[in-house]
Amino acid sequence: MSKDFYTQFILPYAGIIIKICRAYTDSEEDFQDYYQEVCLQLWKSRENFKGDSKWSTWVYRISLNVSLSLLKKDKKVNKKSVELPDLDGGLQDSNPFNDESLKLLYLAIKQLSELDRAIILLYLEENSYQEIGEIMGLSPNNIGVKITRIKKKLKTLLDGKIY
Amino acid sequence: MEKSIENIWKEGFESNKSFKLPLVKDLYTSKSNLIIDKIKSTSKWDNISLIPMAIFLFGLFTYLDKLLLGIYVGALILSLFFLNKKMLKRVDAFNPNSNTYQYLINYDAQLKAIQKFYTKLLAIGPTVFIIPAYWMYFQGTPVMSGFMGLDIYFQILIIGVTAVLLSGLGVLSYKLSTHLFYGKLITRIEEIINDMQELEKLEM
Repeated sequence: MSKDFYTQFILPYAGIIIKICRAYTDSEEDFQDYYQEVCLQLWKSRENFKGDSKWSTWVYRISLNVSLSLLKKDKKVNKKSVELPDLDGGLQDSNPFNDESLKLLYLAIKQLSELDRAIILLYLEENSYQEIGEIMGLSPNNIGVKITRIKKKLKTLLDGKIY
Repeated sequence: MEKSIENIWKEGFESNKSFKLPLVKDLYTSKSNLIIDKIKSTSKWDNISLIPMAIFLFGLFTYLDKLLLGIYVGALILSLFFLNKKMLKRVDAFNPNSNTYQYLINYDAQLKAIQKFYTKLLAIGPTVFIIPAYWMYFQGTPVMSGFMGLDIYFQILIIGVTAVLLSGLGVLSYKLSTHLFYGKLITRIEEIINDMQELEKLEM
């Protein structure tokens, strides 16, 4: 991967990649692998980007596709169910966030289904329903309904834990 | 008052602005090592599976009162096991610490050379080694007496057709099993080599 490409097209969007990869990984090692794979796929798919959408939308799309396919592959290889972190007992999650509320929110997000995780991440990143719909292949109305349900679920999971 | 998830997200990331970016490095090396390790372990188990096969066939032919044939087939399969072992050792001798690109090129070339060798072996081997096995199996049976009673041209024709069929079957089954067990892995090695070639062009 050329340094120019990394500096110009990946570095400014590294936050997006990090936030998505963190939501789909449970260890620092996996996170590093996912991040590297997303960067590599962004570079490899650069010629497929036609400019119909924003580059950031492309970054979201690739990050989610890569994370979901790696997660599927990991599950197949390990043949283990991903153990979900316990919101009451453990903050042993590898996410290196200083903010306790953010840590808890991430733990709650990890308890959602893989696709719901993607939707809520895109929503929290202030993408419009239209943009989320384009990335997820759903109508904006469906996205709206889904987001309301996911937020309700997150609220239940975080109930009384965050002030 | 409870914070909204939108605020937790926004404020949380504002206080985490300094997170360390992961380094993008050695991805190709780690990917290549994974694939090569997989090829090594698959071929190792593939080869080891020949031992129970040799034992089974020896036992089967002994049970069928064909001890000589059992020894012959068992010895043939064990010879193949040792030959494979020697081949695998040759591939393992490559130094994975050398430049990844060069290592993959050499590895890929070695795999192709081995495939070529086995294709030839399986084209000739079954003819040379299985026809005597048929002779041992049918010796003293009415099938053999019937065969010996045939005109010499018919005998040659039957042996020739059997040889061609065995040869074709040997090559076909080798190609098929290689494709099934190693096809994807070999394709992935080739993809990585292509990627790295493209990268080298960009850096030039």
